[in-house]
Amino acid sequence: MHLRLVVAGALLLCASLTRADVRIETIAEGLDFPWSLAFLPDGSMLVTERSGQLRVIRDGELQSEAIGGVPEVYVSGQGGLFEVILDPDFANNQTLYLSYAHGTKKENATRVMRAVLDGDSLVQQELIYTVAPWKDTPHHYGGRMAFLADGTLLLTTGEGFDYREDAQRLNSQLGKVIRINTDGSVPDDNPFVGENDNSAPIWSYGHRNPQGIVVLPETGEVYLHEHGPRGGDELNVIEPGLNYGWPATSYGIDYSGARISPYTEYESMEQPIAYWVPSIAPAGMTYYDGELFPDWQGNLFVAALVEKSIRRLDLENGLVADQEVLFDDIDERMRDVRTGPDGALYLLTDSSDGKVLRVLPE
Amino acid sequence: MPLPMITLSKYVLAFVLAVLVTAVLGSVFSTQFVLAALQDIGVDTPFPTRLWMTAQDFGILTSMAVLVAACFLVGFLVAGIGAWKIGGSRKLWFVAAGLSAFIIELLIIRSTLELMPLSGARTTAGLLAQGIAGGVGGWIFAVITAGQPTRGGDAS
Repeated sequence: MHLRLVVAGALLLCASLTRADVRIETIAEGLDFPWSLAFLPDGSMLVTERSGQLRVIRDGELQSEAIGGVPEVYVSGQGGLFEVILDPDFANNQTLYLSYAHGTKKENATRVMRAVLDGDSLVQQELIYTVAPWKDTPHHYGGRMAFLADGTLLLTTGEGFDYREDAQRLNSQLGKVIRINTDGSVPDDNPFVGENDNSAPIWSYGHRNPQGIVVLPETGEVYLHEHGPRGGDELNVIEPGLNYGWPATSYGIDYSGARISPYTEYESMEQPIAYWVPSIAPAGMTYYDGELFPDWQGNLFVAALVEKSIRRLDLENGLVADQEVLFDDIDERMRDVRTGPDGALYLLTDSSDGKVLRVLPE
Repeated sequence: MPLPMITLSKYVLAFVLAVLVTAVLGSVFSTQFVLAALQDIGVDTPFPTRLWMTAQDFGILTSMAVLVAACFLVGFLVAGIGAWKIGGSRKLWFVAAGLSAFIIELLIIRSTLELMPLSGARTTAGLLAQGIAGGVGGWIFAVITAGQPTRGGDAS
């Protein structure tokens, strides 16, 4: 009993010290459901708003004019403008990539556009990828992107809610991690090249609605989290060609209360390295390798919509050794979390008065 | 003229039974369609596993009953008026009312939320199965409340 109290006290002390040692600045507010953040080499930032605008924060000020040349976006349900990610060679080619929902109520899909940022406009826009097949629900688009060390682009796709079994089908790109070249072509060494018309871009499958993906700079390991239904949000380490189970396995249940599947484990399907019951609704993720918080180096940070927090995940040997709930006192749905080039942690809050927050040492 | 207490009790009992049977059948049907969809993607669903999951899914009965009761209130009212004003078989009126009311309700929710609230009703066959559950509820209601007059029709 005594030992338990000491351990509990020590944990509380650690948690409060961690939170008390930081201060939070508001960088921008009044954003319409900000979704993603990218840091430009000149110190300014790009922020996507789900309603379809790409905004700039320059010299610490949110610019009133949005970036021009953004594609037409299907804004409905969870659909809209999602991720902005810079080309690894952005400093030389000023190229960026946008993921977004495109289409109509009856036929919509996640898309990726490549464009060049020229001043406050996008030029040379090129549609490089559209998820197949179309779906008729405005839910579960995925939409997060990350670059592998070989320069190929990973895109997460959701299973469209009503099409959950498609996550297991290799003739559908719903519920997958997609790997493409930056021109939209498919790398020859993708695991399902040649299997059928839709399988070539698929890199991993069995996903529900993945909205966080990071590639660890040192090891190249790919960490991905995905929304579960009622419970069962997952953190997975992604390897090409593997099946991550949804909906054949899940630690969650349907919103109705019914089971998704009788199984939480199944042969030839991967287990998550962590899962959350009840759901925290993970919606963005960063790997912290900044200088400002040495204690946090090597940690993953997960933005949580429902828990209204940032989860700090302490990784040891590739597994989650410990977790800490941070910034829940802000009482905002968290859409994304990023490591800035200055070593600060940046947070996006999910609301019609969305904010960009910067976390600095006190 | 107010309904005699015994007739009112019969109507309440009939309604509750109809709702319960439809909720149970709807849950069982939904589970089977979910399992069939899993089977279709190569997941083994042996009989004991089916039985276990079917029983587990009875956890949704309360919310199912609320859904069913809401649509039956409207559907049975329309069927009762229809049987009285237009005539014909009461059983047919209530079976049709139960069937169509539950399907329409699910479609309205699907259209509003842009997702199907009951996973086992995502396919046309699954939706029709829910309609059958509703139809059985309508039939039970008609049988228990038999004896009410219709215009020139079958009162049974």
